[in-house]
Amino acid sequence: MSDIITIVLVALYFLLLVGIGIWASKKIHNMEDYVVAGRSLGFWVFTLLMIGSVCSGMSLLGVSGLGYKFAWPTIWEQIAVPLSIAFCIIFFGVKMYAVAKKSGYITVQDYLAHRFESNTTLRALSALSGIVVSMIYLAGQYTAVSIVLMWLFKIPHLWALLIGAAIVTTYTVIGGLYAVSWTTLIQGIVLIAGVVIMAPIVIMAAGGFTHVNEVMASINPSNVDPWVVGGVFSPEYVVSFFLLLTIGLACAPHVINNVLAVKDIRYFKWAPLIAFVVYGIVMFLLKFSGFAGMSMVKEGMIVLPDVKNASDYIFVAGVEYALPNVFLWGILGVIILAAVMSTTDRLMLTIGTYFSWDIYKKILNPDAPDNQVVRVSQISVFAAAAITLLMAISPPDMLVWLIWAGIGIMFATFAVPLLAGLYWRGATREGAIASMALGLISALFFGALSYFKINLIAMPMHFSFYAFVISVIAMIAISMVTKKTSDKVLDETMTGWYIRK
Amino acid sequence: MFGLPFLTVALVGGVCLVLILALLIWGLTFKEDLYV
Repeated sequence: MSDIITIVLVALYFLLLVGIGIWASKKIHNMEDYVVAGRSLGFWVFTLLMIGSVCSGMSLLGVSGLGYKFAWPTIWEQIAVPLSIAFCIIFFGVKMYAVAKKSGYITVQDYLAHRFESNTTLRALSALSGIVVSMIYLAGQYTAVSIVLMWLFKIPHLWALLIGAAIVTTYTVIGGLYAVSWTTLIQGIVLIAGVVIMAPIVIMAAGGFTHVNEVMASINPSNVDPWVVGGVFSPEYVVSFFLLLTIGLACAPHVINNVLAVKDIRYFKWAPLIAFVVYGIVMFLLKFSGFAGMSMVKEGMIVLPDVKNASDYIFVAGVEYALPNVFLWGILGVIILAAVMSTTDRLMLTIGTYFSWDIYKKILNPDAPDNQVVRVSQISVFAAAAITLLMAISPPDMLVWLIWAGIGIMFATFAVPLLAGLYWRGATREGAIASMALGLISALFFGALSYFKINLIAMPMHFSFYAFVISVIAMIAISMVTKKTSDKVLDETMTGWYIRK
Repeated sequence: MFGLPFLTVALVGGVCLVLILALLIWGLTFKEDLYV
């Protein structure tokens, strides 16, 4: 498929991204510029940055793949993932942005260190957890970049990885969040327009929405039910899956940090609704394409490749069938790359920031000048790319499982300290450290039980839910018996049972 | 409707509608001057 039009399209797209990086690099004068784009993001740049950070390549390919495999019982993912953006803005963003503007935070760890009066322990624990989880995510993203480039150009996996990594690393290292947010604006528009145009064509090619549902029901009547009692997507699993996606993604390091970069708090007025509706439409269309794929395979219209993760190819296979035009394949490649890269760059920047700002500047070398911290950040972005590239050269079989586990770990680790910190004046430093540490450890423990199928206890819900409960109990129990945070700090951080006073 | 059981249409459609209404109310009642 390495047609000249495809090569030109993808090359032009890459050149545009690097061009934005070069333009953005001229705007970087200090760490605030590099990490939060000088708090200058406008409404659409911010809203699409939130969508782009949440929408990854794995989710684009995986959403339709999951729909193809498990049909309607997976539909709650389509509501929970877009809702995570609204949840992040409303329950974390509004208050954290207001405090950040007064106190000058540039990372979430700045908030946690201030609110819980713990500049070293909690900051280090939170930053390191964020880095580990982001690295797991990043390895998955690079694998997705490679899948697309290999498919488009028929080049070896290693070359595909190196090309993808070189482009993203270049503009992220030189342009920081300015480059990440402006490239995401372009990537977001390409992604939304592409899916909105292509998905209905795929569904029509499969015989229309009603026909697709009838075929799915003929395969298995529970395919068109909202859940399957006793199946993988049982009602209790659906509830835990919904919470995991909505809250876990909302407090993901590469998502929540975006709220600190907004120019004006007024953008939080309509951004939740617009992000929910726009991304919701994209997500529903992708899932419906997966449904159409199930019908197409059943009726012999398409055949999936004989590979282990065949279901991830369903969207691509559906488009190839519905639009047998080489020119459009190039566009499809750019759409998938846009989804992948919009998350990849944000993850790399998050890792670089957490290391350079929270570990290097705030703990190891507090006297480091700003330009030195920016340099450390750029080096750590580069190092993060190199390490994850090595991980992605030979991706483990459990990569997709690890990505979902990553969101689960974020849910169990960050949700309680953040929510309790913002809303409960009784939450203490020791409570926060205990809830974060126990949340992380128990998520890893229950995750291992789930992965290795060890039936120590019955776990009808997603493993992260049990770790989340332990994190809640730890926060409440330890906070009750330890010294309260001073009223001065609680007032400075606007802590209390309100979003807006 | 759409070849789907009523329960599926009602649940998915209903949840989406409730959430959109909630976010609409959030936008309409948002007072930006509170934190400025």
